[in-house]
Amino acid sequence: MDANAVTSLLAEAGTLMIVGMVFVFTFLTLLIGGIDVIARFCRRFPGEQESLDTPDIAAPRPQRNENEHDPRIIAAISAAVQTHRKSRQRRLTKE
Amino acid sequence: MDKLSVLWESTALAHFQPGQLVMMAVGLLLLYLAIVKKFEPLLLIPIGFGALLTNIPLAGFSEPGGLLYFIYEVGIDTGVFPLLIFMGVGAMTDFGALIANPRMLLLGAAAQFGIFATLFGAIALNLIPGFDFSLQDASAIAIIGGADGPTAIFLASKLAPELLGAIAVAAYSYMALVPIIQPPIMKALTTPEERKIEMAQLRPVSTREKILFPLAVLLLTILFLPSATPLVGMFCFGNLMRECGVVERLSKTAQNELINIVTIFLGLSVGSKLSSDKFLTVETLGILALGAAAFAIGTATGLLMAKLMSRLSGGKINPLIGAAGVSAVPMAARVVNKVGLQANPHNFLLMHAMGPNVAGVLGSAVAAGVLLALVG
Repeated sequence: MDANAVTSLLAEAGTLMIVGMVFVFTFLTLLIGGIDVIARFCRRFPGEQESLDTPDIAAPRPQRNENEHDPRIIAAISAAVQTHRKSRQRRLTKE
Repeated sequence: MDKLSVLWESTALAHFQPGQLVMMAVGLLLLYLAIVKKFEPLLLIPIGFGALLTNIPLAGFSEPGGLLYFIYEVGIDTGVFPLLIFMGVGAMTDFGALIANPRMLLLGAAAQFGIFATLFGAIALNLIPGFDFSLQDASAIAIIGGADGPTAIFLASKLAPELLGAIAVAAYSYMALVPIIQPPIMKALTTPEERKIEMAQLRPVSTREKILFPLAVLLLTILFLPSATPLVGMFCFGNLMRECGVVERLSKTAQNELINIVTIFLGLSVGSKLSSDKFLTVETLGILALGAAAFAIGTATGLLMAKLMSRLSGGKINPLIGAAGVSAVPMAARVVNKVGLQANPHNFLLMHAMGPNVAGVLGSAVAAGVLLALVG
C-alpha cells in the first residue's frame, strides 16, 4: 500500500478514534444519568415487598453508628460462626 | 500395482501439505494450553479440535457439504452464535455493583480507548510491506481490545470474515493471559499508597432497580445506536430473564445448557477457520501483536481514568479498579482483587472491580456498535 493511501486511511482512523471515544463516553454518561433516575424513582416509590425486605435502602451502610447494630443480625452472625466452627472441628477430627 | 497406488492415493499421507501439518500442530498447541495450562479450556478445546479436523486432507470438513462448513454458515456467518452467547453472558451478569456505583461506567468507557488506539495502529502497520489492512480489517482487529470473545467474533464475522480465526484465537488467548499482562501495567501506573486505598461498602440494590436497568440500557441503545442492538439487545434480554425472577427456568437454560451447546459449536467453527492459507500469514503475526497492544492500552487508560477519579473524589476510589474496565469478566476483576490484596491484605476490591468490569462489557458492545455503524 502506498504512503498516500495509508495517510488518508490514518486520518480516517484518527477521526474514528475521536468520534468513537466521544460517543462511548457520551453514551455511558447518559446511562449514569439513567441509573440515577431509576435509583431515585425506586427510592421515591418503594414497592410494598421491597419496603418490607430492605427498609434501609436509602441509608448507606457506612453512615450507621457502631452501637446501632440490629440484635437479630448479631444473633444470626454468631449462630453462623458457631455452626462454621463446629463443622470445621468435625471435619478436622474426621481427617 | 494399480490397486496399491489407488490405496496410497486414498490415504491422508499422500496428500498432507506442510501448511496443514503446521496448523494441526497449532491445534495441538491450543489443546495443550487448554488441558495442561488451563487457558480458557471451554473455548480452546473446541477451537483446537476444530483446527485439527479442518486440516485433515480429503475429509473436507470445511468445504461446502462438510460438517464444519455448515456449522460456520449457520452460526457464525449469520452472527447467531455470538449473539446467543451474549444472551447467556447477560443472564450470568449481576449488575448490582454497577447500579450501586454508576460512575464506574466511566472506567468502562475509558478502557475502550484500547480499541480505537489499536485501530490506528493497525492502519499504521500498512506502512510495513506485507500488511494490507482495510479499515474494516483494522476495526475487526481492534475489537480484540474489548476483551470480549463474542463481541470480537460478531464484529469480525461482519467486517473481516477472512481474519476471524486469527482474531478469535488472539482474543481468547489474551483473555486467558490477563493475569500475566495486567499486573505489571497496574503496578507501573499506581503508587503503593494508591493501591492501599480501601473503598466504602456498596449500597444494597433493590430488585426493581435491577429489573429496570437492562430496559434502560436497551432504550438508550435503541435511541442512539441501533447498530449495537443485536449485541446489547440479546445481552439485556438475558439479564432481564435473570433479574425478573419469574422465568427461572429460561434464565438457567440461557446461562447453562444453551450457552454450553453454543460454545461447543462456536469453538468448532472458529477452529475451522484455522486453515493454513488463512492463518499462516504475516498478517496473523500483526494481529497477535496488535491484540496485545490493545489489551495493554485499554488497561492503562482505564487505570489513568480511575486515577483521575480517585484524585477528584479525594482518595475514595482505588485506581486499581480501572484495570477491570477492559471487561474480560470476571478474570480482570479477580486480578484487581489480587493486586489490591498484595498491597493491603485487608483490602477486598472484588465487588468494587465488578462494576467497571461489567461496564467494560457494555462499553465494548457500544464500541462495536460504533464501528459497525461507521465502518460496516
